[in-house]
Amino acid sequence: MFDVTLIHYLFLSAVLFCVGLLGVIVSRHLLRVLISVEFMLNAVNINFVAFSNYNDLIRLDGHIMAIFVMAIGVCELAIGLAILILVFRKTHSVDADGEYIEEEKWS
Amino acid sequence: MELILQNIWVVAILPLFSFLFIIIGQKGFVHLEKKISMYLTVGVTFLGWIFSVFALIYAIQNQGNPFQENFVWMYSGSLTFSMGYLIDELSSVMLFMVTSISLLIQIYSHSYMKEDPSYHRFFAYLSFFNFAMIGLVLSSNLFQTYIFWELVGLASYLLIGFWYKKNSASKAAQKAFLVNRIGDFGLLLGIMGFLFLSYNFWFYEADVLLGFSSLKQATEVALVSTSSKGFFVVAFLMFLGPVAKSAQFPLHVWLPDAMEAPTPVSALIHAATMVAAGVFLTARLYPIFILSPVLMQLIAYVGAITALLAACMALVQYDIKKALAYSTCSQLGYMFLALGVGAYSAGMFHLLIHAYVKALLFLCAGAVIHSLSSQQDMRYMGGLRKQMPVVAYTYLIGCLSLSGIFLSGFSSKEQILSGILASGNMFLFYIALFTAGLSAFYIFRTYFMVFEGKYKGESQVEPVSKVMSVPLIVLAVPSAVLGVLLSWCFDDFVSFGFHTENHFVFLPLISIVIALFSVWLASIFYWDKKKLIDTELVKLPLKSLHRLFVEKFFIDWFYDKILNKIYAKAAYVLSKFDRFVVDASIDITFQSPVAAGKLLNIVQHKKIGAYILVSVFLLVLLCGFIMSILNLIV
Repeated sequence: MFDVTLIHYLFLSAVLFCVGLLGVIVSRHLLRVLISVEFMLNAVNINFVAFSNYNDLIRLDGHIMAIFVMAIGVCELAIGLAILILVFRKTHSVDADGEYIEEEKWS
Repeated sequence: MELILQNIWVVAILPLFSFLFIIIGQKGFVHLEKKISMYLTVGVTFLGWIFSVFALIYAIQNQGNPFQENFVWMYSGSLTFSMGYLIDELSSVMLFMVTSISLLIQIYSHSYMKEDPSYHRFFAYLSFFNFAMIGLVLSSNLFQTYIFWELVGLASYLLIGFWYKKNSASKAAQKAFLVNRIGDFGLLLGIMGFLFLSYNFWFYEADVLLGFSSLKQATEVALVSTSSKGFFVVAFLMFLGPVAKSAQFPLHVWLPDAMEAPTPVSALIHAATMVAAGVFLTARLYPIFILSPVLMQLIAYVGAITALLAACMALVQYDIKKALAYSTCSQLGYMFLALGVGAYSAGMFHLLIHAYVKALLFLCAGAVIHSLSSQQDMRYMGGLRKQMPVVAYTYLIGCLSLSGIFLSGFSSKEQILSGILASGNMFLFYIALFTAGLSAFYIFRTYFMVFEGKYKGESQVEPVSKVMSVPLIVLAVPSAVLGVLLSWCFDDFVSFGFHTENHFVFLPLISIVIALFSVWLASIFYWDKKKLIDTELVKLPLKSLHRLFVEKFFIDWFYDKILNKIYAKAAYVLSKFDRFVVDASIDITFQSPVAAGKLLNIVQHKKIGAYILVSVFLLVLLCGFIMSILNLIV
């Protein structure tokens, strides 16, 4: 039978992280950016749980840390969405590159 | 008495408050009610007049014992500047003159400016002028005098340009301001130079910096500390201030143009009070001037030249206000002439009389202009005596007084002439005598052209309102009798330590004969009933002389040429220097960071994704770097 080792978890986590990073880099829709950030957080969570499982079965440090990360991630998402809605109301656009400060005219 | 004298600063401060009240409220709470401005201004001035009466009584009772109080205004290094007030003979007389004339003219203005949309602004400015002028008169030291000196200049500027929408008015205001600037700057330099020369005295011995009461000792210190030439330069610079403010010879060009102001302003500022401030300051600085004989000569000659030239120019003016303005110039020249030859009290006496007389003449002219709907050209007047007898007879009193026939003007003019005679300078005496004849001629020329003969204008003659006639009648009284009443005691009251007792017996006779002859001459030229000679006939043989008078001796032309040809060229060159050297260096300084920023801008192309990519890439690199180092260590 195929034996699942630590390295597989880490590989999954790395892939997930890279997908999230790619999403942050390429997507211009702010909602997608937020989702991608969640991807990255979850990748980290997998890392935490995996290390916790394989290093020390008695103490549950990694699990607890993962729950913390999830809670914070949810808060961040809620605030992020609220900001997103406000930005949309203000500018009628959720384009990440759409809004920028005009270059100041000197002469 | 003490209480009133101690609080006499109220006289100067209250007009400032009424100015602020009107100017702030003119769009709001006093907008519709014209009476508020009028009563406020007139009430404040009336209060000032009452105070001035007390000040005058004090000065009469305590001659040679001036009342003064000072308080420290600011410390600047080792110098202590104070503000204060000084009530002596000179300032009490001036205060009385200023407040009384001001009061009458403000009442008159109510009627004159009734139709004007900027009525409130006018009264606000009048209040402001009152503040500045009374402050100038009461000031106890040169420093304070200089401040108020500038303030009266500002008030004059504001009131000349009162109808600022008229191009000529705003131009005239600028001209007056710029010409006065020359004098004011000279005065400032002179004060600083004097302070520099007599610094030790002020620092160790005097309590008030540059105070008038210790000017005499300071002058002696200053005279010791420098050569007579250096002292002359300082005194001359100080004298430039009065020259500009009182419209004396090289700087007289602003006064005729200042007639763009409303007529009450011409009467108050440009005839009676502000232009006399120059004479007043000269009298105040007499202890300085008298120690430089060259400067005294200069003062006398400047006065004589101005008196003569301005009288000549007044001969050919057809604008009634301009004729009176040149007359003012000429009479101020008379005062300077008197001060220059040492006839101190005669000069001040003439100042007092002339203020009343000229205010009266201007107010009469204003009444005429007002009822002819702003017609100022005398060729379109005539025969107005029947329509407005009050104005005509008061004007006649003013004319008689100004030309020195028996009324007030006679005694002051006679004192000046005898003062000049006592100094022994016959050349100046003949000029003064000739000018006296000219003044009688030009003033009766205006009288005959305006009030006698038949009416030549087209517009309807409106009757003169009562509010306007009353100040005329009140002013006619001092114009007629003040000189006669005071002629025996004035030179005891306001004097500079010495008297000019030299009475030439035939002098009054001669001056009256000359004046009467001039009046007769004016009548045969300009009185239609007695006309013997047509003016055109005389103009032909004297063509060049006439042209000279009409062109104002080419002084304006000369200034115009200097300004346009030399000054404008120099300014052009300097502006180019400014553009290509000063501005260019600043341009380079600020363009270089802009260019550097543009260079860096290439990296920043406003794509957030790319920024993240770059930062992640760099982060990975950094991590790899750190790990390889850790590997090496471990």
